[in-house]
Amino acid sequence: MMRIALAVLLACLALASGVTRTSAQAPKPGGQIVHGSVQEPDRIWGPVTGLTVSSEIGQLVNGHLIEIDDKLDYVPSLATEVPTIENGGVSKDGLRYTFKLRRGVKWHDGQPFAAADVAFTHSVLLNPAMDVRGRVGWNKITKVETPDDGTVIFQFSGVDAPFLDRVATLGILPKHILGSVPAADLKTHKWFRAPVGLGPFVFKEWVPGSHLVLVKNPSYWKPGRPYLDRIVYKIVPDANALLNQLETGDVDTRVRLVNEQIETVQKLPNVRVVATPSVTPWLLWMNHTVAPFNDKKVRQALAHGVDKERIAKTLLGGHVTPAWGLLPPMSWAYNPSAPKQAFDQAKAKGLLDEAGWKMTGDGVRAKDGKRLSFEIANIAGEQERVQVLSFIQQQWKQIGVDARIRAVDVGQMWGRMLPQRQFEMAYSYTGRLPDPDMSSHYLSPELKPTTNFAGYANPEVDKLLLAASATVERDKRKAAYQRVQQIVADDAVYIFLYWLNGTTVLNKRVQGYKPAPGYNEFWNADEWWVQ
Amino acid sequence: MRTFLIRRILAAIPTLLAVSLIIFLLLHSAPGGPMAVYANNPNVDPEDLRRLEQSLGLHDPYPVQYAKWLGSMLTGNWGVSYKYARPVGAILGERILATLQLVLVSLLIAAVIAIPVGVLGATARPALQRVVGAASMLGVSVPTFWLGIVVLLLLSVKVRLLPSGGMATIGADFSLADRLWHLLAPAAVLATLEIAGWSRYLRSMLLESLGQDYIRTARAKGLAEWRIVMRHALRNALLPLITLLGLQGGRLVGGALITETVFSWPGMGRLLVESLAARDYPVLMAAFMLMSVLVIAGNLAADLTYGVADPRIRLE
Repeated sequence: MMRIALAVLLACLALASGVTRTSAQAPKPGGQIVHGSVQEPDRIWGPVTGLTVSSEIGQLVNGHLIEIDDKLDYVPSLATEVPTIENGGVSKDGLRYTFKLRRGVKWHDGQPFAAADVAFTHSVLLNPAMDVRGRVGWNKITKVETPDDGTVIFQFSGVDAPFLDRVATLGILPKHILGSVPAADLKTHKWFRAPVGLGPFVFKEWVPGSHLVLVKNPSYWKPGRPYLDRIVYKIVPDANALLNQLETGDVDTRVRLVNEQIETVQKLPNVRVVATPSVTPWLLWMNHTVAPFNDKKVRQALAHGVDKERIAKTLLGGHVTPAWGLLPPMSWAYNPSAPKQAFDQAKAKGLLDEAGWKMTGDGVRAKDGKRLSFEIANIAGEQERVQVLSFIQQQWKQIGVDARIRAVDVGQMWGRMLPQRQFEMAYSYTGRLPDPDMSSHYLSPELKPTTNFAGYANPEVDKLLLAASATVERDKRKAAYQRVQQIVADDAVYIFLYWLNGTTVLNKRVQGYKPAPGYNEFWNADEWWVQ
Repeated sequence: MRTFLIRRILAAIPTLLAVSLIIFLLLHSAPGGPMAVYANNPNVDPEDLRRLEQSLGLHDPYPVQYAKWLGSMLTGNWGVSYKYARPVGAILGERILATLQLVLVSLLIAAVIAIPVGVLGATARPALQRVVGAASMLGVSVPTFWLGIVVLLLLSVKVRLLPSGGMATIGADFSLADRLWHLLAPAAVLATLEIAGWSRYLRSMLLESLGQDYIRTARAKGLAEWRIVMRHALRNALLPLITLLGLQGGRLVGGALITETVFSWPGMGRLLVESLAARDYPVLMAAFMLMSVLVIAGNLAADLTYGVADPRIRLE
């Protein structure tokens, strides 16, 4: 149902912005676009960067075995098919993945692409001298075999259910360039700033602080693609200056437009605005190891005390959709019948009464002489976030809860408060992969989840999550995840607020863009063209 | 003169050491290290974070880290950026060139305009003096980010007279004309504050000079008024401006964050802020050290210039 609703929504947006009218024309090869970005990439290879902008350039230049499309499905790329149990690419026990590689594909320097490149890429991921950010999953691979130039086999020590997500974002490294580089020099090798890849666009230049230039790969494996001759990736650090350049046409495209500029941009005659559904939820983290958040009733009451619909519609101008859980409605494991703590102040008050928090003279509840008062940590810098929190603060005041907003710095939030659980409540988004595995957020702390900042522990959830990540069979995983969503929603582990839609701005001459949820906006850049 | 120079340079060494220690402690005591941004990344687990911190030497005690940094700095090795995995020297080199062009041109514009405006403010008819005073007050009060955006909106969006930002036309070969065309707006905006500040300063110094005895003597000699102002009063009034200029040394490497951001100028100010957000310690330490060196050098240069501008001052 939600999926249909989403599809209808997207169709409406598409109609409103005139996609259907123009996409009837046949794509025309040639021309260039200038993409404007407020941020500059650091290194152009996913595993050594934490920046989305770097992954964007990587998507254009590097090659991937498989990709994720706009329906969150895997599609073949440098591998000729996506391995599954049905096609024999994945062994029954989920411990062996076989990729058949596309033959005749050439690196941008003309050298042939082969299985050895894939095996080499894996060795770099685990190279101790290489500052790869995360090795989660890759370190479960015990052996990479290349029986011939066109076959790669990954052997696992334990099932890594989201493995294909990782494969889809892994840019392949050229063994013929990097294979002979001593381990100590690999990290600073110029390839990571001037990559030779397999993707639709060839890296041409990078002028630091100014721009990058990518040109068409004439021997890309998809015949006739890409359509564009050139993409200029221009760094425009000031959002207002970037807005000017969209208006003048100096910049053709921009992604992740800030909400406060949406209305201004919609009035520009030469651009169209496309909303992209997101898989990244914004939420209020609660520290379950301290009072009052160690009480389920209090957490439920706080959740009932927030009017998400009003935040989404009024406060944030309809640019977001209310979120009720970690999984987006478009996920294949989404459970539409998981409990939702809808806005209901009477119910919230009742729950707080039941939990023993009684109203006092100053309008704030108290229990055993302690006031129902806590701090919400918020990363300083964006007015919009303060508005959201002030609204929530007001709503909670009405049910007798005193919340104070505390501005903190990014490093303080992510370096100290959340990982060391030195907070009461905190407001941020949370990073997600498209795969529905929720272990990172809900496994008990002793099982070392990456982002269970709440300190939530529930043996039944542990059992379900571990069972689900020990199999690659989708039906079994789906059943487990549906049950998990049921339990954690009832436990009100976190207070989810909204899905922050991505907003992409395109000059009307740019065609072929398809919004993709939770994935790189450049995923189909080889199909973009200009009139 | 030589002993003066040697003494000043020797005196700079303990200053720089103290500055480096303070910067080091400030940077490292700010919450969250270079790896904090990865805490929200589902692909990075706490074990990864420990491994990365270890590989960057962030697990050593502070005195060890500082000693290591000082040792390699003295041998000319400025380290490798955590974020870009490139030698710090190369990164700074690119950015300093961009900032130098911007700041030097803006100082030139400021000097060329501020001096006549200051003279006008002190010697013109009272009505004109008030106009100049009001204009310079406006110049001091207008925030740079606003002025920058307005200039862009008027001269590059409404009238397509100037480029919308950047240092050069993308894809074109370098040409001086193209560079100057790109420099005009950011350098002028950056100069506004200086013009307003300096001209007000100069005006009050000039008014003071014009009340001195030697000016009365010059007038009594029957010298032309413009000659009195230009030759006698202005020269003396300019002295404090030299001090002011000497203090600009730090800005040559510190850059001008707001102007650089609004005009997409790839300078040091932006690099510093990006590096601060990423807690890129090697870049930050080197950049701050360079700034301190230049502030010290700027002051020294100002002192030396005094001797030239005012023969009464002897450097001992």
